Amino acid sequence: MRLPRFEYSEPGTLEEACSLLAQADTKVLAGGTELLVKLKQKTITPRALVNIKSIPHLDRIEETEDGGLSIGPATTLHAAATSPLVRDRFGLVAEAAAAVGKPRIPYMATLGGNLCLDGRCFYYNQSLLWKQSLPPCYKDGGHLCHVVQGSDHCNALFVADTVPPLIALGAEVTLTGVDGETRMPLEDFYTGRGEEVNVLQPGQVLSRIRIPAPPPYSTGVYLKHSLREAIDFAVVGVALLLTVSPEDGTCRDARVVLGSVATRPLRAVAAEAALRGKALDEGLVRTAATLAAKETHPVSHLGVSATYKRRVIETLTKRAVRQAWRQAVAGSGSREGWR
Amino acid sequence: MGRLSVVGTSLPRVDAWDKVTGRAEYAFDVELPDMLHVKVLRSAYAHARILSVDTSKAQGLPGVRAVITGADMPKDPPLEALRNELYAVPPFSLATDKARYTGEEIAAVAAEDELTAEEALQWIRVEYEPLPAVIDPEEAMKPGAPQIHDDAENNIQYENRTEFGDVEKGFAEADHVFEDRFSTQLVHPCTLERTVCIAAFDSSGYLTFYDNSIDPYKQSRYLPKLLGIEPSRLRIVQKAIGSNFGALQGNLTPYIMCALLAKKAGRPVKLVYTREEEFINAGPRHMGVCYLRTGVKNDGTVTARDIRLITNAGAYGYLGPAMMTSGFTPCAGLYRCPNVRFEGKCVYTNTAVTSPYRSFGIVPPAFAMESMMNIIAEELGMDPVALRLKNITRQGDVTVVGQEISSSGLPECIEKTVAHIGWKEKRGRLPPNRGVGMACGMFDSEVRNAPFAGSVAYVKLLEDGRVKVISGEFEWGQGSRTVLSQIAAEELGVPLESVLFSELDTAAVPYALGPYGGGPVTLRGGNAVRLAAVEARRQLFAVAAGMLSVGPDDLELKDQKVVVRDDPVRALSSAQVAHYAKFILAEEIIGRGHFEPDTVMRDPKTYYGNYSSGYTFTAQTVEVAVDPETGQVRILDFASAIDLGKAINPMAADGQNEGCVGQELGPILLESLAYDKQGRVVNPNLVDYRLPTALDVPPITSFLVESHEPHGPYGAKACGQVSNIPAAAALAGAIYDAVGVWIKDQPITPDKILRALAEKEKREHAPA
Ligand SMILES: Cc1cc2nc3c(=O)[nH]c(=O)nc-3n(C[C@H](O)[C@H](O)[C@H](O)COP(=O)(O)OP(=O)(O)OC[C@H]3O[C@@H](n4cnc5c(N)ncnc54)[C@H](O)[C@@H]3O)c2cc1C
Repeated sequence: MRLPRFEYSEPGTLEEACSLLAQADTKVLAGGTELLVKLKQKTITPRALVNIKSIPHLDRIEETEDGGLSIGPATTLHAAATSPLVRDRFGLVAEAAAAVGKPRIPYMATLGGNLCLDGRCFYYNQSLLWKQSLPPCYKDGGHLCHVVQGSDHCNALFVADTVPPLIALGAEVTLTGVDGETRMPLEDFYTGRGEEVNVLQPGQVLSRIRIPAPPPYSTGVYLKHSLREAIDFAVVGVALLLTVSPEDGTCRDARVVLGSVATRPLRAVAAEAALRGKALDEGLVRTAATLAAKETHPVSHLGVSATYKRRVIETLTKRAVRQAWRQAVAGSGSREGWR
Repeated sequence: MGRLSVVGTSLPRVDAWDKVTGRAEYAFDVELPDMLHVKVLRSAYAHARILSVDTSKAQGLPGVRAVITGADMPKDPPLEALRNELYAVPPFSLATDKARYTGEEIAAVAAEDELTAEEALQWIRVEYEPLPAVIDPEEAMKPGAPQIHDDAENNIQYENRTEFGDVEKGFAEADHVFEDRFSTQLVHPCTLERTVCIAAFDSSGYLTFYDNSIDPYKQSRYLPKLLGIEPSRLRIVQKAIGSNFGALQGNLTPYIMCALLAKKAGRPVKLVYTREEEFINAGPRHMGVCYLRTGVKNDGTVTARDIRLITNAGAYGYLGPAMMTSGFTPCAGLYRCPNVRFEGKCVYTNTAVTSPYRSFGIVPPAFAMESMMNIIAEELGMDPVALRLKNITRQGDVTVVGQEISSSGLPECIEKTVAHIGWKEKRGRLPPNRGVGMACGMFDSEVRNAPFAGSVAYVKLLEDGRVKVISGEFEWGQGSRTVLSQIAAEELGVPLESVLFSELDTAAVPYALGPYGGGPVTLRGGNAVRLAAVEARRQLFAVAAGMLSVGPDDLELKDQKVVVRDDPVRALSSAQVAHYAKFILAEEIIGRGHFEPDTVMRDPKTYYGNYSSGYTFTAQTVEVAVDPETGQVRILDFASAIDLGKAINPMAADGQNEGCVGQELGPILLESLAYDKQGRVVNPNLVDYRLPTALDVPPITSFLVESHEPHGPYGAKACGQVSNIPAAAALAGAIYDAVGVWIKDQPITPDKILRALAEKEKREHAPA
């Protein structure tokens, strides 16, 4: 399959990028690891691409005054995974970045591209020729879903690995367009609609990712389960940020975020509530894991059955809580807290 | 035979350097002046009547030079003549009245560049009348299922029943009868290189194809008939092949399309499949359902076996029947059980035409039979190793289906792998969730699948002392050029680097059947090359004898010199002799070797016969760890032993052994070509079709057992496609040893393991 023809530009500034993107049918090109595949398949055929990797400083990782991080969207996943700034205090983000299509994809792919990753589906992500005989699905502008017959919405799966950990950490994103900037929690960036996964408007660039300093006495974990060792999307990804009380070791707060289980990154709120304020023990771990599996409603998708996904959510949640708990007890979590 | 110096040595492959440095020329690399690019419009439906195909818009696009449809296909193809030539007619045509699988060829475009050709496809209007499709062969056999071909009732392409001994009596003698159902799925070989075909007519109408297919001779026999060209005006030049493994072996459609387009456009054309086209069109390995009954005595003696095998032929079922025969007979021959019944059905379905992906058809029945051997051992409280040793066929046996076992190192294969894994200490004794398993296998070392089942080769001594092998046996990645060159080097006393190999051009090199697996080349081609080299040596001595005025018997070959044995100062270099022969005597030194094995074709009805001049054996052991909460299987250790008679190049043989296991781990654990209910392949790409990566393949320990096959060159047999045969059953056995569940349908996914564990738990906790 060949790339279709398109216009291409390499702007020198964000403003320039935004004005180029304000023109009809123009898309941001970052690492291209998702976008170019879709172009070759003619899943989408934009008129023009704007390469944001040419913008200086958009790949920087900096510490912010409040002890958090500010990461440029054009930062490659490899850079994010290996940066000491990310690894030392936001290990779960580094883990997730390294796990994206490992081992090769992280060298090309960007963090911004991962955040803006579209939903995946056995029917949507096919070539135009493959789709000849298919009536268009919701995501292609039609009125049905090929994955779940009779479904009233698109079921394209949200699979981006770095998002659950970033949401667990309470990250924020900045969107820049010709009309100015908006900042929002990353969690709110996602619509939950498979058709349009995020709130990006035409002409907007996701221009910055901010991670606040982790709360004192917190530790984070990202566990990804996939079927193949290399180059594989998650069957399920579980991110957990666990904050314990230094006095009695009880769970002060827990944020559990699941990937690859729905059309958006999903907070396992029932599991979080079950953990919050409780003394951590094996029984609680199991309860939380069971709740996480119960409160999600995965569909059989991309060759993985819903039942299996549930089992894996349960297992990974259990393991994530145990691991975070162990780290907390060992004091290897957020350094600030354990000083 | 004296001491060997080149044969038996681990030498780097002769094509390794070119391949790793990108210098090897693949068909993809061939660029001809004025060449056009071909794209194919494929059926959007798994089953549909084609009401009309309108290409007028596409034809008028700038850059489009020719368009063809089913209407351009050869009229009245001489099917009967084709059928008589070989046992089955491969697909050769674009769809005309009906499309029978998603991906079937409907029209093809030749344009100035690939993108234009691809875009032109969108302007071809096809009017379809969709018909219900059927993907599963057992469903397809049911009354009322969609009829795929008018002349195949219940979609049965082929069925056969054969019985040896007295099966009912065998079951009556048994103390236990085991019965089960096993199945395997559609999988794709995912060759590194995609299908490529280039067709070019010269000004006098002589047609040349450049390709990477693995059946150039078969094609050069069929194609003239289909294209209405005299055979002498058509040749196929085979370039380096980026592996094949049998994917749609013999498919003629790309050639027909390219030839017709090249003719119409008056320019050479090149077709390169996309990866998606590979998945939807280039034959997957058939899936098989095997219903198996086995009778055993208390002491483990197998008394009767009743095998019912159902395979999907795909939409056109080309090699299905051949795969059935080829799969069943080695399974029957592996054990001494005298009473065997076989019933096979090959069923049309609306999937791509299925193919003999590595080890021609045996995987479905072998998985069933070896799994059942493990189950029997477990139920009888016997060691699976002891059960095997009690029943295996031994050297000197004539098996129940007529195979004459002229060599077998199977006991040694078992012994080696069992010792490696620490079987005695580990089986049933490992910590929870860890386990070991084993299984055995057998396959032919070559096969008589055509009236001529031998090989012909020429070996030429060049005037500078180098040696050239001219043979139609080809290299598709298995290392055959290296092995055949080693043989020529051995007989003519030159180092391996001094051997050249002819390019494969059907108009220039002698006829050969081709690999049909990695093995036949070594056995058949190896014998032919050896005979040719021996003859070349005889000529060398004859010429040298004249030059030295001695008798040929007084001469010997030493350090590339022909030396008078009793007077070693009198010597001529091979180069001097060859030079003299060529330019003074005008008689080149060229030996012809013709090898024809002493075998018969299997009886088409009973399947009886000694169809191979040697049989290869294998035994494997494996240790796994299973995560009972995710179902994930981790292979900790894998040992694979093959009895290959003699390792002509041990390093290459180890490579075949390890590669074969590594490749098969995909179908066993990960891969599945997934068709949806409407018959679309939903994972036609290398992300969603999970081929094992380097990180997924565990360390594999290879053992080579040399049983010395009397019919093979230097005792060699085949080794390219046997190590994948027992692997699934060995793994299933190890998983059972680890967590106590048998998985009987491939792939053995974590999902299936968890479900089986949940059922087991339910059973164990159910009130009695
Ligand atoms: C073989 C393979 C394996 C993969 N495995 C994984 C995996 O395991 N996990 C996973 O999460 N993903 C995986 N992916 C998907 C993809 O590679 C990653 O998500 C990657 O991070 C995307 O980043 P990119 O920079 O390449 O994005 P691009 O392909 O350049 O862009 C992706 C999308 O985001 C938009 N975009 C990019 N940056 C911005 C921005 N700053 N502002 C606004 N819009 C933007 C683009 O317009 C496009 O729509 C895989 C892809 C392949 C081909």
